[in-house]
Amino acid sequence: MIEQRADYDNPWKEALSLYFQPFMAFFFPEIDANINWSRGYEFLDKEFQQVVRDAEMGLREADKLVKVWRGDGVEVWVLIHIEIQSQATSDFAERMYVYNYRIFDMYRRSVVSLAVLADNQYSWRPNQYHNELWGCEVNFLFPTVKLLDYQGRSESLTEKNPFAVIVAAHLTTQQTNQDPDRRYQGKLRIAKSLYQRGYSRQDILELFRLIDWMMSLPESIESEFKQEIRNFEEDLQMPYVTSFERLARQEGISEGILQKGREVVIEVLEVRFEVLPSDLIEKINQIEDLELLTTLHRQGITIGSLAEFQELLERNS
Amino acid sequence: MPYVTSFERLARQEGILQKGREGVIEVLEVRFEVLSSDLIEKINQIEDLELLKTLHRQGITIGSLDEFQELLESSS
Repeated sequence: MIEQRADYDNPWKEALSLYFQPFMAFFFPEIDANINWSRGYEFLDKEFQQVVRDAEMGLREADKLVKVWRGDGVEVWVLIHIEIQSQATSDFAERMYVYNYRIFDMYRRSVVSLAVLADNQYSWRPNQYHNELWGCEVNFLFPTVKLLDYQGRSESLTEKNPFAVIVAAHLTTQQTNQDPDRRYQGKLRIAKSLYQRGYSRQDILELFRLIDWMMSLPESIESEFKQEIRNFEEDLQMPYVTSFERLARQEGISEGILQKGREVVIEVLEVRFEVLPSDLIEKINQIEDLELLTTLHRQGITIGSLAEFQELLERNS
Repeated sequence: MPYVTSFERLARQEGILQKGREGVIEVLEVRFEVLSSDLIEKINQIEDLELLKTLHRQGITIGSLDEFQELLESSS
């Protein structure tokens, strides 16, 4: 069985960007209660990039550095780290410590580092970095949550937090690496639950997109999944994904037609004149006008030479 | 990695197929003018992109419509 490729990092990163406050409320309620959300928050992507570049530890897609304000008005930076794979505990804790220290070193800000352990090993729960010699001691503790602990809560339909859905999608994806049929069933269950949790149309679409992204299926059963969702929406008379799909479909078809429209022009010229200059190919590939492509295709079949064709192209662009 | 919805991906394939058939028909129309509706229908039923590509390339140089129809018969 071919393992179903899954993308965790990118959907998590987007979910964090879209739903940062719900993220804190879901996983770190005590911290959430201490943040003055009315002052807003700010993603410090540029500042974090700088730290990662200097630390030479490789960029992790799903890390986010965020500026928030405490209830008493003090500015605080929070570093969220999503760890997809379990690994040697010492490496991980050290990395948490290094990032925390790096940010302090570079910006003189104290940072609250939080980790989401999204791996599938129940017992892997690092939460500190410790180093001691000759009376000198570093002891770095950081709050973590383990996604596996949220299985029950993520499945409860009364749970409205978007991260209930993200967690359900994540855990199901993880558990169905070798089993596309079970993933199909899980994806269907989670997608349908979106309509029962009382979300707005906008949230249903966002979350649908995120779970569709994370829970990739082989194409053969993907279309079956889409059909199930269409029927389900029709029954509920909530055609959210269906109308989004219609738009995406039209867009996709147009793109496909345009792509193939360019290809057939190039093919005709290749069959007739063999080698084409790369700048001619590039010019054809930039044409957005379908009518023009049809004309060029028809003319290309009978035109006397490549030079004549190039003239024709000049005149029309 | 940018996200392309699976709707869009599937639809793009449809568009490519649609235009691939059109391309074959256009070549034959430009070269032999009138096509039988039977032939057009046959081409419009092809789902195989590679086959469409072959037919398109062959159609550009093939000697007659009869030869093309033979090619089509032998390929399907």
